[in-house]
Amino acid sequence: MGELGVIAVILGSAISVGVTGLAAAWAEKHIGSAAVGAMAEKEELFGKGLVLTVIPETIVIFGLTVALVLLFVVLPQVL
Amino acid sequence: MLSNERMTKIALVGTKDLMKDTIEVLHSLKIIHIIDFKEQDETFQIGKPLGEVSKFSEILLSIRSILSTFDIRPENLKKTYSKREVTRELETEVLKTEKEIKVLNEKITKLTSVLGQINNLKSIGDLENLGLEKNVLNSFDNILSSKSNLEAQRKKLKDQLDFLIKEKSSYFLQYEDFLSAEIDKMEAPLRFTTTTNTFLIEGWISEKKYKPLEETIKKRFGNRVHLEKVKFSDEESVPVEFKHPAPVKPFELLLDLFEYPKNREIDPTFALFITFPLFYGIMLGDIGYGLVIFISTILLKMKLKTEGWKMLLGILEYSSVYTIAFGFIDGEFFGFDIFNLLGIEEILGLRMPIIDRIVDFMPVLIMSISIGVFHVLLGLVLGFINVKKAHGLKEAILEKGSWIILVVSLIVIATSNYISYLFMYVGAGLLLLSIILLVIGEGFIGLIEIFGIMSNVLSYVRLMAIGLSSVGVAIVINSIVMDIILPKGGIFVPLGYLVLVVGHIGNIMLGILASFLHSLRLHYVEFFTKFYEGGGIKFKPFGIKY
Repeated sequence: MGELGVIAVILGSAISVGVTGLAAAWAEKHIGSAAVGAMAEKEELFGKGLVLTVIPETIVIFGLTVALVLLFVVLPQVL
Repeated sequence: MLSNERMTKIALVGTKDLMKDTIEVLHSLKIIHIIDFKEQDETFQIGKPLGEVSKFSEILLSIRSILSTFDIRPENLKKTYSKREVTRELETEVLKTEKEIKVLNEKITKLTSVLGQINNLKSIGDLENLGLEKNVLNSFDNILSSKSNLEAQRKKLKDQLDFLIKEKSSYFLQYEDFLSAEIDKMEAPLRFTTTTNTFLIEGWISEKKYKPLEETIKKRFGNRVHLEKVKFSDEESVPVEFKHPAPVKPFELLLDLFEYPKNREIDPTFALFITFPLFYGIMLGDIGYGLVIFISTILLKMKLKTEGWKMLLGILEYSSVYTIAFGFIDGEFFGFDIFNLLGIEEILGLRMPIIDRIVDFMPVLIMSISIGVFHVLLGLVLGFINVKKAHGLKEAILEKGSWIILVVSLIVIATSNYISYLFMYVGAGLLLLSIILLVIGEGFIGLIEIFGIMSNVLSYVRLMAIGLSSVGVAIVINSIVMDIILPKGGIFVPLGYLVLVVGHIGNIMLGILASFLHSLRLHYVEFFTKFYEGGGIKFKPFGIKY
């Protein structure tokens, strides 16, 4: 394994943060524009819109967690 | 503390000739939430407004436009007159001043436009080379030199206007107050049920205030206006009047953004008061950032005095205190490892910093998830109480009890590794029991929701992740400045400090927003869905301005 394993772990953590970040952004884009549209009709929806918009951020948080586990837990074992 | 003011529904009936007096009485009492009457037919119709509302509305509109153009706030209101005696005098005064302001404003705009034209002339200017006659040039110069004169004139008018507004602002505010109350009263019949000769007002009142209202009505009208309690069902949307102590009050804002609790539902404001700032603090957790937020909320509190801002700043103030506290635990000061830098190794026998979030991220991760487990469990217990109140114990056990047992069994299984392997069996038993209850309660489809609970709990990982990303950015800013820019010396020193300040300001803004939103989200999505129904309406007593 050796070097190849290290490369795989680091690459994996990079992908998990990067791709989940993109995914969260993509989802938030759609929700955000819909929320703004709804708010134009009914201003009281601001609170709900705001919260709905940050819901997909969970994706990137899971991604970050996976990356951290890879870097701090898995990587030392590979090394 | 967990329940709200109890409401009862009332009906007031009288003949139309007493309607005006009744409105007057209700308006001064400010204790009744009027239900708008909507379903008209031939006999029952909505009332007609008293007097000429449109004329008053027009005046009100122009006064409000003055108030907003010159930024007159209620804080500078001085009560020079008591309201009743002066209305006529106040009215003439206000209308006169309004005209003066309009005239002055017109003059100023005209002067400004003339001055603009002159400035244009100047740029066109330069006629000298054309070889024109001298007097033509002279008259042109005259126009240009009159500019300073005009400017002085404009300044004078502006001062006059400012003085006038300063002098009369309290009149305006007072009159605006008076007028809007008056219009409120005049338009009140639009919310009543009326027949040809009678009126009926339906509304809500807190149970405690029913007796005083009854007495007032009796004293004022004798038997000619009839007041009685009306039966109502739980399905009706009963308005909610909070009775929270002052420290908890700001957190009503978070319900305002979401939904008000239904009648007899547990009011989550107190839970928000405890956990919202806690989560915020765990996420941001930095002494320096906490201090910045704390000081800026105190400064802003002096400037922004509307109800909504006060609540928001109140929430941020609590949150910043928690942020400072967790900053000490994490040992962070603007991203610097403060205890290490100062050489402090222990305080009160505790190794400092207690937790280094960046290095020991595993303990923080586990802590976050356990907080999540307990928070979700708290939500389920509140849900249990809610369901029990509404539908009885059996429903409560099947609907919420099964989930409570499920979460407890998972806790037991998780701790079996550390305490005793016997816990494994206990946990498995509980798990089986909860699944049986779940299947009875919600059918096999309920089993799918187990994943829902898991993702709810895992969602609390953000307590660690958001904090980590905020610290990460702070550290990057610090190391860019300290290790890369500053060692270059010379011009780079002030530049480095600029990067430091701008970077941290940006990070604080992001931190405030992200921590707030994610703490809010944890409550709305993870916590409230376990017990909260919402859909209540706010108690808005007739006579209070909104």
